[in-house]
Amino acid sequence: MAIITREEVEHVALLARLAFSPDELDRFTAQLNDILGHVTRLGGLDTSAVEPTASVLSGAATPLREDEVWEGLTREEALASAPATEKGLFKVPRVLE
Amino acid sequence: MSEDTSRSRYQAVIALEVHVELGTRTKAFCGCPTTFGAAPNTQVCPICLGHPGVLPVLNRRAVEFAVKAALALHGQVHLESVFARKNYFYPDLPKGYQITQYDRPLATGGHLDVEVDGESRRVRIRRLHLEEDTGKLIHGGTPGGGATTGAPYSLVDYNRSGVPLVEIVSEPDLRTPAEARAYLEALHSILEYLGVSDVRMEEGSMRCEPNISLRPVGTEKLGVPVEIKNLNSFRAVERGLAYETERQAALLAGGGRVERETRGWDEGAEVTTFQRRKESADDYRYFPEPDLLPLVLEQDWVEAIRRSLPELRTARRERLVREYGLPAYDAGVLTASRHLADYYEDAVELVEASQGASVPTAGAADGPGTAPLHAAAKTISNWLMGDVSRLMNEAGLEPLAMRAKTFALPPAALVELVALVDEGTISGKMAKDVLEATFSTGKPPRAIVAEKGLAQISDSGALETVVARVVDANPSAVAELRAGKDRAMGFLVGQVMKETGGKANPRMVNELVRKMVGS
Ligand SMILES: [Zn+2]
Repeated sequence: MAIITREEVEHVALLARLAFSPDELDRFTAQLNDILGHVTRLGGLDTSAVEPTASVLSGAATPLREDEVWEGLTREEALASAPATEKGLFKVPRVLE
Repeated sequence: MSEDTSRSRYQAVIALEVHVELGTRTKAFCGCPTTFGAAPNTQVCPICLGHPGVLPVLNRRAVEFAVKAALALHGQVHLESVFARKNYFYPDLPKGYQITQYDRPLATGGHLDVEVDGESRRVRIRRLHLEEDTGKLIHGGTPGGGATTGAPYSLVDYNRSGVPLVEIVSEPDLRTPAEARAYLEALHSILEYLGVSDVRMEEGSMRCEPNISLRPVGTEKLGVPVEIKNLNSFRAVERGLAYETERQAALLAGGGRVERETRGWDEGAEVTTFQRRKESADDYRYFPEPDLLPLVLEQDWVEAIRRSLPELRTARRERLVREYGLPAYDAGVLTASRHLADYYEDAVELVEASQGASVPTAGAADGPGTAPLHAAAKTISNWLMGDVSRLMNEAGLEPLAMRAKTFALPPAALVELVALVDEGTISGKMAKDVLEATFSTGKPPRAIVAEKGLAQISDSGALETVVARVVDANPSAVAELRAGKDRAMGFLVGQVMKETGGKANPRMVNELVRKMVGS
């Protein structure tokens, strides 16, 4: 039985702003079902006696830094790897809906 | 059915989601500065640009400020909270996700008391959590050049990306646009007093996104909520919600259905327009942020922050009434902004120092010697609520501007102006002109008075000559005054004022006339 439907794959693709052809949708739905099916085996373990955690390091706390300025990138460095820029800004495809 | 009738059939249910940029020096997860108005993309680094392989490190002060806000709102601060990834793709979010808190926020519960039409209402707060801000998108065109509709691209400035925010979510306890505004103003006041943010709605350091739904009066089930964005002032929040109430009521009354969507407030047209369908929480695919361990707070630290909470508005309002004998109304107006209240107290303390009176302590406020202080305190309050407020509004200045070292009318200048009136150097009417001159030039009142030759003639020798001349020239008025007709006094004083170009001290003229006429 399918864990993820073709419609769900289509929806997630939309959220990720990806456009798939009908063929790709069929192929990815099958592949994702294989992957999810494999991961589902974990569900067979009895975890009723295990505390849920939000991190793999149990009991550890996130370190805090002082509110002090450190050196960042110059604008030229920041923009260096952008495919397109204009007047010191990153240039991206129009997104206003 | 008229719109009025349809509206009265429904009750609005409003909850407010408020985002506040914390006034830290650096961003939430990196050391980039947060200075407002810097040139685009000059306050960025690999972390806030979302380069691969970098790790966020949380800013201690951002946590402290968020805890402060939570405590001031009577929330329960959780000693352990967890960061989460909120996933969505939009170019203002360089990582493709926002670091926020989801199922285990920093604080839950709490409340805020708001006053509407003299009645106090308690609004419950659902949660307060820490998150990071996004970058800023400029749609088409050039920065500052306005959006060019139809431009095929957008431009992005990531200076704001990663600035720490707290999100404060209320319960759906608000029922009218006026209540929503009052809640927001009360929240603004608290955050300003705490000093955790500069809370400027126009600059976006405080942003309010209300949810509003309608339900038939007398029913419990909540309607379909609509979220409103682009509300950049208290007024816009109230107007936007009022518009949305009308729109939904008309829609429902006409048998239509309200869609779950996000709408934008159009300030010019005073309408809300459709922006997008609301993505559901599932669509954000939240999961625990793997790059950050849980945020664990020491109880001692939380308690130390609690002890450091400053006096907030209500307490200060009561103290101003108690210590300076101010009417409750005055104290309410002056404490609406912490900066205005600070200015006010600085001014009153200067008067107090000059009067040589000791600082009144609680309980001793009615003791001897407080009367002159109370009188001066009320005079300063009148100036601030009246002419100074008017000048501030005309200049488009907010109370924060009064605390700048460069402010044209520092507390000492206002105190000087009050002293000039008190000692009879200028009349109250002249003082208004002097105030305006000081406000626009920054020159001290005494200097303005000297420069413009505004000082009243209070030299009795000089006045006596003029009064004698007027008395000699008006025998009939003098006779009338001797016969007890007080109207004649007004005439004689008026003549003296005319001769001196309005500069004579009226009280002294009065005394001199009486002395000379012997009435
Ligand atoms: Zn950075």
